[in-house]
Amino acid sequence: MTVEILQGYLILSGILFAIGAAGLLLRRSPLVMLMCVEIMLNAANLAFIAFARYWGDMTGQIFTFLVVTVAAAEVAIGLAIIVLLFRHRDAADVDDVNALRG
Amino acid sequence: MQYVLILPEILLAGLGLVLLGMDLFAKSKRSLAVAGVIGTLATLVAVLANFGVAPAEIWSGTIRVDDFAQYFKVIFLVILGLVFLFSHEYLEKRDVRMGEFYILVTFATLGAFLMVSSLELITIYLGLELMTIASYILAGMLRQDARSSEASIKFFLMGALTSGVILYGLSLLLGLSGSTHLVAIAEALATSPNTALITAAGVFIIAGLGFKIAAVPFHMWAPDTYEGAPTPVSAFLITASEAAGFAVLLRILLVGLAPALAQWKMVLAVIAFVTMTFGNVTAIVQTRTKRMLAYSAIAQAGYILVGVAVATPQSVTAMLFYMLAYAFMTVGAFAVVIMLSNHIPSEEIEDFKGLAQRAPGYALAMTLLLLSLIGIPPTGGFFGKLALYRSAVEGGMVWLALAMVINSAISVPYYFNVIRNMYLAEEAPAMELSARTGLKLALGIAVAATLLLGVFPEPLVGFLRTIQVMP
Amino acid sequence: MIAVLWIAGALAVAGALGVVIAKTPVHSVISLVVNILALAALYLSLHAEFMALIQVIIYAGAIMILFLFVIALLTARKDPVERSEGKLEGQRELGIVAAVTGAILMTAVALSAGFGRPVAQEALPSGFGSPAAFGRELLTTHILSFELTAFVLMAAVIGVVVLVGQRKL
Repeated sequence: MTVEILQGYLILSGILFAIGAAGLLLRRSPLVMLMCVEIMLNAANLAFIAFARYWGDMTGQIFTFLVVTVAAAEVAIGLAIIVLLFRHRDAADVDDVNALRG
Repeated sequence: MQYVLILPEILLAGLGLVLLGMDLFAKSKRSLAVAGVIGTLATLVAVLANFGVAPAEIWSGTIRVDDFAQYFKVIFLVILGLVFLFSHEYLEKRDVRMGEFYILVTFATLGAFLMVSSLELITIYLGLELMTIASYILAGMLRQDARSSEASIKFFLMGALTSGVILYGLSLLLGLSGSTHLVAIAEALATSPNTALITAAGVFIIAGLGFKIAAVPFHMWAPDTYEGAPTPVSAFLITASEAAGFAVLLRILLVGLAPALAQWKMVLAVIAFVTMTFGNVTAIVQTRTKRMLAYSAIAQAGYILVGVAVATPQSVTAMLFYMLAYAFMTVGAFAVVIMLSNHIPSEEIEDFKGLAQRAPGYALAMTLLLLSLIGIPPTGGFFGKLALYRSAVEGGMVWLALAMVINSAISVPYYFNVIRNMYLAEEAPAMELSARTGLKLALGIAVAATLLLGVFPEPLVGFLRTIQVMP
Repeated sequence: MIAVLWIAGALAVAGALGVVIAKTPVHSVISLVVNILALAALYLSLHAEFMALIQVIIYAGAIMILFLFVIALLTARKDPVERSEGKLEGQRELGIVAAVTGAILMTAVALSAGFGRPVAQEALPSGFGSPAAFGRELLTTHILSFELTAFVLMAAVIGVVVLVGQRKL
């Protein structure tokens, strides 16, 4: 693989990373923010795999595999926290309704 | 042989699994805390036995055992042991699931262990993730409290962003060298002409680890998280999680990015200055105890960061000393806060009113720990700060040393506000204050160690001088 | 290789943009699946066959389904619309500017110089990226990291039970 092609992959990965980071800062929905984090992790994974191909060394691919595993754990926890948060908000909304009825 | 070298990790992982099993069958959850303390002591013995062995890399270089790693493991175990000792009553009163709490704290410590005992990026990253994933859960464990959930989601999203940023930085390091080992990366960097890429990798990694140690401007998650999380968890995050972040920062900057270190010293010095100033100034106006301690922790992170910015052997020694003293004094102060919040749940600084009349022993202990946090002799905090200050002057950063002195002066009012409340308040609400043996023991250990480090610092300093960050 | 890079790359960027722009979370998930599948194609073009499979099975399969489950769980009662409070005026413009600046900076960094290896390319080792080679590398050199992920996953399992499980088991 030539340096030019590697740079192409790196530029793509940089663009994806920037989109993910911008989305994380722009959106306020925790679900979408979590998806933006996934985009950022995937951007890093693409860079790892491109470098693995460039150096002809599998370490980058192994790193990516472990990152995917960790990302799965992270998503599970993140979604659990989001569910917990929505339960609290539901309770809060119910209180609001009661308050309005006086 | 290699199993002896990673015996501490094995013991700690075993402790987590034993606690998991005990949680199913034990009738009294207090037995879990007792088992936790015993396991921590056993691990501590294993760590101490490994001191002084020749630095070794095992398992294809994915684990490195040296005194630097052992020293940080001692810090983590001290914190873990104290958390096991003082959490029980708090968790009981707040209806937190105790078994899972103890298990997750153990796993978080295991993650911190692996972060410090490797020069290999994959192991460092996985250790970091194990620690942070356990911390996300711990921060959200007050399930009925909406503030705890808000703290947890904020902490989670910021933490996940941080992981992404660090990971991208690590991928650039891999790209520069084709290796994930910091020594190989340093060798490649020394010959590589690609300064733009090295700079980008450094920016990502320093920003990412800056989040972990709550350095300004990456601190926005910290006060809310430390305030909303269960108090023992805040104590753990402020001390252990931060120390692990500093250890990795030292390893990556002084080993992996060593050829490019000069360009980062000024940046780090400015971050250190801004962090301590911001933390101290904001802490002054706080009225809630945990929030005040959170900003104080940010300021303390600024002081410790001075050691990284100066980056001389003396400054690293001073930093290592200060981190142990910091662990003792902060966890000790949190023990008093926990004792008080077991009786008065509001956790306002006002709650300290008249503590000297109601419980003179606790008031005296708290005073001593706060004096240590300010940096007044005869405490470990004073000696550690003095060493940091001296290393900054010798390292040619006189302005930073001056900033530290001015900041210590700024920090006096808010720490003294607590002491004033304890001793000078006129009417004290009559209330019986008591605590379980574990908490008393934890507070006693913290106070004794803080005093000991202040009065007899030489043996430890002498030992720390022999510790090498570099391989 | 170039053709794959352009086509799959365009799809990946479109998917990522879709996640950020979409009005409802379900549309975001579908965009993310497009992004992930495009990345799997890119992995194939980089001789990472096993990782491409993992990407499809774990990411597009397991993780995305998890997202859909939670969305279904939360929207069953009401739409989890985002709260607009705390949103600043002109934040959208600021975000776009930040993203474009970031992307340009990353491009400049990527284009800046060589990567410390002679241009003369040696051939890839045979079986590079195949499941066999991958397994050998993972279970010999990186066995400790592999074991470590078991603890990460266990912490996550405990965490989910602690956070959203029933109070009394």
